[in-house]
Amino acid sequence: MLDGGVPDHATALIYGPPFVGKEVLARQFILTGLRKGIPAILVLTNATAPETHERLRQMDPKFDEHVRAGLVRFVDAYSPTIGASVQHPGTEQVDGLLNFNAVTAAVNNAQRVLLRHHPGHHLLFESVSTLVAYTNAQTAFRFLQVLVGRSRAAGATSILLLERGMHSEEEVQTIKHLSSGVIELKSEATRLLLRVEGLGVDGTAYPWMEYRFSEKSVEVTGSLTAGRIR
Amino acid sequence: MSATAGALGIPQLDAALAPMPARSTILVANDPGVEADTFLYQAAYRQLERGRTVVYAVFNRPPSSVARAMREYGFDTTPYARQFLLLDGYSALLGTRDPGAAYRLDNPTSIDDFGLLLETVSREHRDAALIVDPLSNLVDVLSVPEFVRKFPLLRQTLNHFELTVALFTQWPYADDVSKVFSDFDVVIALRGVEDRVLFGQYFALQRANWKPGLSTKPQLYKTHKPGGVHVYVPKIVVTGAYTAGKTTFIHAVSDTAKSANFEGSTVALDHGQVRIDGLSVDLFGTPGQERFDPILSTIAGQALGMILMVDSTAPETFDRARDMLNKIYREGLPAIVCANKQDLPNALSPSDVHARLRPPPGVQVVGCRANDRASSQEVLRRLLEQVLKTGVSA
Repeated sequence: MLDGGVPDHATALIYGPPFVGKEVLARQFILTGLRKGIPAILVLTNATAPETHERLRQMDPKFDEHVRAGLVRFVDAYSPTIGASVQHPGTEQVDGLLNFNAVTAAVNNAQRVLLRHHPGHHLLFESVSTLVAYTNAQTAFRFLQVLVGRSRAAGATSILLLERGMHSEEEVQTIKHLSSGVIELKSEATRLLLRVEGLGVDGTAYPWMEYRFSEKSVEVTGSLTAGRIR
Repeated sequence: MSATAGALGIPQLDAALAPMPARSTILVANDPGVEADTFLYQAAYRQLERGRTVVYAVFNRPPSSVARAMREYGFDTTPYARQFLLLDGYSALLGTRDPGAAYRLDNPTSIDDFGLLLETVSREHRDAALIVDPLSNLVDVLSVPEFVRKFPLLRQTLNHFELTVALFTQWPYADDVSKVFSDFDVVIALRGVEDRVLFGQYFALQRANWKPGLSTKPQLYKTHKPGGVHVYVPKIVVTGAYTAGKTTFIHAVSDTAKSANFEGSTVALDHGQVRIDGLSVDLFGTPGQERFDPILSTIAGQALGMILMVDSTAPETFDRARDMLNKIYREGLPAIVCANKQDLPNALSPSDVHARLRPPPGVQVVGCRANDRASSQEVLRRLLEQVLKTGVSA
């Protein structure tokens, strides 16, 4: 995972409570891909494109170069909810969080552009929880089923973010059905723990591993750190 | 004035649906990701232009963004501020309020409340047109069984409006939900053309209750800002002998034409985009010199129609023109011969050109002056009439 090890065309769900580094882990995956020349589409439902751009730049000063090279596309569905109008490089603004058709069209537009020069790309949906909060798990599932399915056909490896504590167990299970595997994060006493389920070649569920994170990266400190998680 | 004459503002659909009865209900059912809002914007604007009050109910974005988007497509509602009434079925979900909305649905998750509000609105604005954008959001906030159970009551309320146009995005709902489609008088399907991604879209009129058996051929479309929905004709090839006037023709009808030329002669191709009579057309011009013949079939491949330009003052070039026609023309392809340079004194008449050129049966010869926009547009119109009869299909 930390070395871009999510299998191609898979859909990984990153699931965990607040403040355990879910966003950092997802963005690290995006940045790792960009360094290898794999472009990225970021669908934003809880931060604007400029805010997300700044966070990624803080993690990697070369992020600006990737944006200038046309490797990064933002689909900003958040700005209109705070009354902001965004003019940002590589950004298509969607006029409402619940305008699923427009989000699907914007992602398709981005994929059409990227496919001209790249066989595959990474897609980050940040976050599914916002969608579920404003609608329900079934609606989010239907929308994401189409988005993730189409994206897979377009060569995407997708990451979905889901907050623990915001949803019922039934809702979580519904969303989990969208993914090929789950990267689950939790805090226990003073330790941060991570486990991967279903993303390996054989679908193995790995045991909980200790990790640490900063604003810039996530690092597994427990076992299996020698190589990629899969 | 009837709200239903030319109701959608899309000539090809309006012609197929005419005459549309009063109080008709139209469902625009799109595949996810296929541009659909523009159909609603265009219908709303058409009604405003006709002096009718339009109630625009929106459920998935701030109502004020509808007016903004309509302006981008060239449908400025500002002059119709008193007639254009936004019904806000969105803001309450986010705990906000949109000052641009005339009506607010305090509980957007209640189809009953929506129906009651529509009753009130229809009493206050008799004979208004209603737009619902999108109806499928009501399924999202309810459930399929509840929506299917309660929709018939809402459907009765729609009869209070002179015209209803509702959008329904076909997410992977349970099959039951499609039952409601039969409650609409007209169903227009919007579909995507897909190869890894959606790279094109088309509409097809699936049903109109007052015209049993009616269903139209699929029509590719594009949306333009400004301009709205245009039936898209992706390739018309313009061919002909050297100096027949192909480049002049394309530049006359297109404001965005580009040519790959060397010392005044086309050496690769001309390309121009044209918007005319609700159509969006891509024109591709071939070079005329024989040394470029190997690329003719590549340029002309998949063409939906062809224009053969001939120089009416140079009958010695007709053999070459016929040769080019034979290389591209196939039976059934809409085609027209443009007898160019009719403004010159020694030009042969179109009938004389026809007699000497002997084009395939059914291929008309029409006179034109390629350096005159109106004259060239007329030729293009004549060809496009044929193309539309054949169908601009995906």
